[in-house]
Amino acid sequence: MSAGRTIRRLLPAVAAVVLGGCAGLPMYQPAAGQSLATIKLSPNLASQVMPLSFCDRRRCYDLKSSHGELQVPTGERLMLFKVLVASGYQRMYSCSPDLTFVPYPGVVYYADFALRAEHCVLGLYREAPASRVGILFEPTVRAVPHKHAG
Amino acid sequence: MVAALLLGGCATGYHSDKGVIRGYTGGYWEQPGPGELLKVGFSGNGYIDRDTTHAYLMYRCAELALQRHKPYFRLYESLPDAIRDRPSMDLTVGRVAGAMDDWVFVLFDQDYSAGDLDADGVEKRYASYIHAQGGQR
Repeated sequence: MSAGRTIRRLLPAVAAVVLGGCAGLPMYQPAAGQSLATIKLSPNLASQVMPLSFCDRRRCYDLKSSHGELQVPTGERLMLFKVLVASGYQRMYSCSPDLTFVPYPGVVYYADFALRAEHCVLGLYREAPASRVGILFEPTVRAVPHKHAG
Repeated sequence: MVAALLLGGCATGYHSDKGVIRGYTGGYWEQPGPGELLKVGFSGNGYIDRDTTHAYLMYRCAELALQRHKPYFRLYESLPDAIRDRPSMDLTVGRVAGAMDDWVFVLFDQDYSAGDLDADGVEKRYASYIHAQGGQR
C-alpha cells in the first residue's frame, strides 16, 4: 500500500482526534479472539499510565500500559502517536510525534520516546534479543507527512 | 558578584536526581535497555550552562564504565545510531522548556574497538572541571 493511500485511509481517524480535542480517547479493549502484537515500552514510556495512542482506519484509542507493555491489533496499518506538554521557567513546550506501522502477530516491538533540545521523536523498532543493542529497524514503519503552516 | 554567587549556588550540581533535597534541582539518571544499552542522562535546571551539563554527562558515563570494570564505552545519540553502530564522540546539549537537559545511549566494552572512548581518560579530563564547578557526589 502506498504512503499516500495509507494516509488517506487514516485521515478520518486523525480528524476525529483533532476534533475530539481535550475530550480524550476511548481506551482500547481488544475483542475476544483478536489477534494482537506486543509493544514493549522504553522506561520513560513505561512509567506513564497511558503512554501512547493509536488510530486505525475507523477511530482512535488510548493504550493502557501493563507491566511496561502494550497490545495493539494486527493486520492493518496503524498510526501510533504521543502527545507531550512540558513547562518550566515561564516557557511551554509541546509536541506530538507519530508514525505508522503494520503490526504482525507474534512480533514483539519496542517503542521509545526521545526529547532533546526541544525536538521530540517517537521510535518503533523490532525486538532482536541476539543483538547487543536489542533492537532492529522495523521495516513497516513510515513517517506521517504533515503540512506545516508557512 | 553576589548575584553570580546566588545564581551559581542555584545551578544543578553533580549528583543523582533521586535525592530528596539535591535531586530537586535535577541531576544524573540512568535507564536500562534496550539490549545492553544504558540510557544515561543529566537533567539540569535553568541556571546550569551548556558546558557544565556536557561535562557532567561525559563524566557520569565514564564513571559508570569504571564502576562496571569496563575500560571503554561508546556513545550513541539515538537508537537509530545504535542500530547502525554510528558512535558519537561528542554530545549535543540543549534546553527543554528552559532547563538544560541531555542524555545518551551508552554501550560498555571490555576491549577497544573503533569509536570507543577511554573511560579513564574521559574521567580524568572532566574531573578537574567538575571539582572547579563545585560538583559533589
